[in-house]
Amino acid sequence: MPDNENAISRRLMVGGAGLGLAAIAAAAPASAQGSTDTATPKPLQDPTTKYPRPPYPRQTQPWPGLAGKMDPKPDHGELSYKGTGRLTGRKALITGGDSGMGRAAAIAYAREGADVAINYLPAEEADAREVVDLIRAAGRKAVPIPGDLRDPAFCRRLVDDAVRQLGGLDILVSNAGRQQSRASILEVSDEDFDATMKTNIYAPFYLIKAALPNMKPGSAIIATTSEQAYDPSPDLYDYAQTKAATMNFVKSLAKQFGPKGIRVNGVAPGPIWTPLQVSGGASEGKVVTFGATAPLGRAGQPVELAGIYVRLAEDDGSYTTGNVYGAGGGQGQP
Amino acid sequence: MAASQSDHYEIMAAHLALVQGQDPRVRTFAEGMVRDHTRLNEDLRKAAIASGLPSPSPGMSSDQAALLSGLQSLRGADFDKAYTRQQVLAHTQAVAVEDSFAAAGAEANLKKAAQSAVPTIQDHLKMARQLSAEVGGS
Repeated sequence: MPDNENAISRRLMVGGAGLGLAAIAAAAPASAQGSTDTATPKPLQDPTTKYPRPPYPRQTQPWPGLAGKMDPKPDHGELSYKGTGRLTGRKALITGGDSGMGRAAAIAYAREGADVAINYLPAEEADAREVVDLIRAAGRKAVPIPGDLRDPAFCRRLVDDAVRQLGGLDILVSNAGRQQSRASILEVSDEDFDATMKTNIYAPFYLIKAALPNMKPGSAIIATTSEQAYDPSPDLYDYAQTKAATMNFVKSLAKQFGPKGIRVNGVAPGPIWTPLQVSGGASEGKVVTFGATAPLGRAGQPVELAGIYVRLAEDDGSYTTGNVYGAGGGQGQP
Repeated sequence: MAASQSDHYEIMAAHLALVQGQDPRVRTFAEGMVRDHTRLNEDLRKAAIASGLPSPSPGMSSDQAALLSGLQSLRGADFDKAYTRQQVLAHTQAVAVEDSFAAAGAEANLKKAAQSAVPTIQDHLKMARQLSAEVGGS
């Protein structure tokens, strides 16, 4: 690995050296207008060795899990993501913005010039605090709104609060999800099934419905789907079908909202290193070997999808709607 | 190259077995796989370097990736059966690969590495067959 600042910083982050927030904030660009240096060549990096490879340490956390307690710690772009004003003045609401891809999107959006509201479960407060500090360190407004998306009244309140505190809304990232691995359908309890459907299918319905009246032409909706939508794992019977549903509503709503000038797209990750996996989303053995099945031979890190969320939100992506962008390390669809 | 891919698959599948495997004999077998295939892969890497060749890229074949993916979803007795079945198949194939390289490999160092690997792989196949008889993975 080239021994530049980013590589060293990234090693520290994923090595779990637990950098204090002050150090992270200091290292991060002070404003959303990051480096626009086009003279210094960026060295090519081998994607197979850029991040830790399996086997990962055996670990488990109670649902919903914290990124801060994972080993190695996931990289959401805290030290590496540099913005260039791609989303200046935008107003975004991100569900599941405390960790994983939601966190990577929140950090990227803030560094690209957007004000960001994040939703998360109260148990995820420790992770969310860090994201709020990072958004503020980027010079943008951060609006934390914890709560359970399974409650329709909360979903409506969440959107209202976000609109009020942001002064509007033009990006909705429906990213929060519930994933629990069960070897057999016989082990999926009624409560399990209900919780997965309510989090992954009902909540996006309530959120989009509440958000739409606030969204002017040029706004963007982004939903996190998954490679599971296209080729489901046998132990993710309930989760996988919700991701297929998500992929489907991205396309129906893109058709419905096209004439309104509101774009709707999806992001389909492969195996990404997030708390979702270590808190029951994947079997313990799958966690240890996470990403070994992918041609790149490792799990993806959330930061590796940040640019996708930016792309689908920014005005430059104006012809992309009804599409699903993947990042799967070489495995799966799309 | 095929031998390196096989090592990689064996190591990952064994790590999976150490966590998901139910029968203690499966886990003991898996410990041996991690140990032996790590050593075999290291020998292969040294042989490649000694010949001025690049180290084999770490990675398994797409067939092996599909096998591993199947294992990742299993637990308990189902896992044990599937893992054992895969191990018999994988080592049957590995014996053939090492044998042919040991006999006809063009490059001296790699040929020697294959020749010294053959007894280990044959041992693995014997152990895998025995495990299959004990755990019922055919």
